[in-house]
Amino acid sequence: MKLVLLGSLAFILCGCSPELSLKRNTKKVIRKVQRKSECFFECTLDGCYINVIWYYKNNTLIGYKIRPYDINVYNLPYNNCHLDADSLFMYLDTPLEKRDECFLDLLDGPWISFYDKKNKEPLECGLNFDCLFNTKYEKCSFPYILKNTLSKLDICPSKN
Amino acid sequence: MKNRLLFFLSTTMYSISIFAYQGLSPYNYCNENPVVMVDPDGEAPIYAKKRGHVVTIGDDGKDVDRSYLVRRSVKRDVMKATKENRPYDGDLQQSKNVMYIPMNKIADGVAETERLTLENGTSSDDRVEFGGHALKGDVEPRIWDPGQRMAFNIVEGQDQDKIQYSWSITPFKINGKINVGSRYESDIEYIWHIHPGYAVPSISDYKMARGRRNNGYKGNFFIVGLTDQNVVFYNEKKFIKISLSDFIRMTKQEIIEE
Repeated sequence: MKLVLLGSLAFILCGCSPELSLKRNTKKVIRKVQRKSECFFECTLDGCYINVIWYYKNNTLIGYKIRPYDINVYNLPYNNCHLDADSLFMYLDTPLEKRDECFLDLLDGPWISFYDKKNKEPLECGLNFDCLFNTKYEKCSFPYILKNTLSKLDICPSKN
Repeated sequence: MKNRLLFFLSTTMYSISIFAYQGLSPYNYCNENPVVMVDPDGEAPIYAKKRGHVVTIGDDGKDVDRSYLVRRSVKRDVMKATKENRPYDGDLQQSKNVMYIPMNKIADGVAETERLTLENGTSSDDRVEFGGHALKGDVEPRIWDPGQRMAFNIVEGQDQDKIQYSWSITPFKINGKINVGSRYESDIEYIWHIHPGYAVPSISDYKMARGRRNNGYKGNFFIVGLTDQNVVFYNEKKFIKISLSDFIRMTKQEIIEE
């Protein structure tokens, strides 16, 4: 009896932990988005308990802001630029020592992942928000679009 | 109750490096007491977790500048060898089941990054992370540039702004440059960083481990948590947690009995 009670308590406590809830919600959204789009992006913000997933379809930006206990869906008009695959790979799929300063891998902190149905593993790298938002990038390059998208989804560095 | 209180005090009121009390000396191997304890053979001890505590379970029969923390099948094989009164002569290359524990100046490097983290703030909220790595054959540690604390403006429901913080550190970045090329990743022996809070790997820590594994790094990462005084060794999937005091004893190749 004691074991059953302890087991149930552990199950409830584990199930309520923000980390696990966030992980569960993120997996749920990834599965949903995989059915709707060939490729999509995910941005994890360690320490803030927020993950963002988005994709572009018919001049619309469809985004999901995932928190441990809720998921907000965004449908925003987006017709600024067309995302160029070469530009994307230039930033995400380059050896570490040649990578852009703002896209270096990080321990803790934000990461960006690009999921494509054609690839088993997502392309992923760290994302230095301060650097990204303080650097001027060429119009319609991948970082330019990324900056624009994150701002539209209300995620940007604070000046405080 | 008294023990509990002491434990509480020692973990939350912690503000001085635990390494600070235990500088390295020629008698580290015997806990500064060469008369009572004698290093039997100079061989590298192999440790494992048993009933939640780190204990010495054998040795590798060689005199090397490191100790080992092992688990699962390797742990079973080492214990079998020790039972048969012989050193373990199986594979001790870094893997998911074999973790290297640094010694000498590399261990000093871990202590140094811990000190730097402690000294750049007054609490886990305002400290930044430090870390470092060492390649095979390195005598000196390679200490990275300090990490940073990023502040985010995240709009919550009803358009209320909320500032949230995220800590991060760029691995291998020394004096503003990435110090290790991806083709050298199989040469890395140790990668560690200090968490001002708890020794719990974050999502990014796991992602980083996965990325390095794909690029040829065979070893494990480790994190020292300042608040909980623990050390976590982890790879892209699993982690093993030990206490910082046990980690320090292992860096000195002390014999830890059950």
